[in-house]
Amino acid sequence: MSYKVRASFGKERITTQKPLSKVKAQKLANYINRRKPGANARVIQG
Amino acid sequence: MSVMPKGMQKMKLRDELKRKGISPDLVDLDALIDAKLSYPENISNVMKKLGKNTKAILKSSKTASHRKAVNQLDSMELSFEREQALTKHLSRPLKSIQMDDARRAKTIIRDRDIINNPNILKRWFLYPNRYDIEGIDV
Repeated sequence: MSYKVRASFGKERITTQKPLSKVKAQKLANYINRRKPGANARVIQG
Repeated sequence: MSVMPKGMQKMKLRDELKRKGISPDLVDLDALIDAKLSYPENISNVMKKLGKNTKAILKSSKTASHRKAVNQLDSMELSFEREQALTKHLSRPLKSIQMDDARRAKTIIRDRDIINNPNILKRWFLYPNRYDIEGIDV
């Protein structure tokens, strides 16, 4: 199964383009939530 | 059936344009108003003609309310551009994202640069080490 990351930064809402593994998607979501101010990222299937 | 005199139609249309945030001085109402048509017909014709160029008219105007309207239009466009840039940035490998975020490029792209030259985003994506976008990888 493949995963993507969906994130919102205030007005902007994005979904990553390439499908990732679960671990990589989780790492990316954690990184976004930690580093980007006002971000809300989560892992989705797709 | 009698129609409203052209002068009165012109006066009312000027008020209508002001309410919509368009400077009446920039619109040639004399040319656009047909004296044989009624006021509602004339107003729909004028708005149809202006519809395509409303943004251009707004951009050339100088008053504060018009500038506010222009800024709103720009921020809508900017939001779309920023979404695309963020998607491209975060779709790269995590290691690349971390490196790009940690390093400071010589050229920092700000909002007004994107509005003036949207092609700068293509250059940023081609050469991520040369450019940083404010709020994305800075």
